[in-house]
Amino acid sequence: MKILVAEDEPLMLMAIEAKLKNEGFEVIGAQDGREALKILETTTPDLIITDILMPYTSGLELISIVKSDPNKKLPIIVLSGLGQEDTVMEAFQLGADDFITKPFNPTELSVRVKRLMKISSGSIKRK
Amino acid sequence: MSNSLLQDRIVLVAEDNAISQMLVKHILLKLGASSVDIAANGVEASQKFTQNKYDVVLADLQMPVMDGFEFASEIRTKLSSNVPIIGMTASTLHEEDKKCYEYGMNECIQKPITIENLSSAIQKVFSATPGTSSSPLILVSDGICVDLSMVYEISGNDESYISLMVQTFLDTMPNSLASMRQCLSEKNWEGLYQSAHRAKSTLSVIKVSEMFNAVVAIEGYAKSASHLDLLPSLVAEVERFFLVANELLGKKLKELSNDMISK
Repeated sequence: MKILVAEDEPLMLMAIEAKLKNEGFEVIGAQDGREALKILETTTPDLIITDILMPYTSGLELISIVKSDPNKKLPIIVLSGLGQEDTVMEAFQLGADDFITKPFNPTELSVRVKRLMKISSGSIKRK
Repeated sequence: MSNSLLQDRIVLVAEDNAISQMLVKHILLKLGASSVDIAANGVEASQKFTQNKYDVVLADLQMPVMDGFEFASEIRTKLSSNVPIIGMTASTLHEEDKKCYEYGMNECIQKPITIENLSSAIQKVFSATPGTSSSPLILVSDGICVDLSMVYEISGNDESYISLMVQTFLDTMPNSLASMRQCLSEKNWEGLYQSAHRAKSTLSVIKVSEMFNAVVAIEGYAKSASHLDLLPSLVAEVERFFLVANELLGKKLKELSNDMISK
């Protein structure tokens, strides 16, 4: 299972990567939304975790681009320090599947990741 | 939130309200306390205090029979103990705080008690009493508390990865601080907001709550362009806190590399 993580803050990226790797996931890190989009041209991960406030391409732009492609049913979890209601709403309206605010609880992150992966693989099976 | 703050610590709570007793106990256990004793008033609490050894005492200020003030002064005088005492009050009066210190308490927090205000008070009382932080995950100096528990947890106690993360913190934070300083001098509030936001991310992995709180305030004020007069002192505060954190983490890095060599 491959997870693409878009996060511009290096220590936060390391933290998310460490937790997910310990849980047995393969992790590809991107330092901003633009780099994430570039990676998506050649790789299809099973899930995306993205920050919102990033240089070049923001997390919200990333969500809207990924979700506008009907061929890719990629689940996206937003992991952001912007916890205000309007930001959360906007992310969900653009198609985000889940929202976690920083500082995050590592166990909660892995539980939410696993839950979403089960849901998305389940929906594939049902088709 | 750290769940090792109170690891192996025994806490005494003096509180007469049953719901508050449950709530405080729940939070203390969540913070890792190994056991929590409850007393319904100051007299009962004093009895327990003479029978057991406690690492921290929480005392509600308003209790029947013997209130929190009297109980605190009894601990300090009759029982001559310097155990950290945290007062809990439902009152919003600033006078109440002052009275707490006069009666020998170390901190005073306002109800409702939350995991945030309680853990912040506990960190403060531990950092003020030298040598009370025995956990390798919590580094304390000069009123600053650096919490590494998340780094240990996510890395599965892998010391080389922990070193790398500490090093990343020490490399990243000066950039964020320099950028905050520059934006402040240019009155670039959007830029200040963004660099504070970035620093907040860093500080939510290696947690320095004193820096975190100041950075959150900067983030909010810069975003709304309000309380601009407070920003210079807040930025200076974060810089000052970082000097202490920097020294603590530098020492930690050396310890970690010594550990790895000896293994």
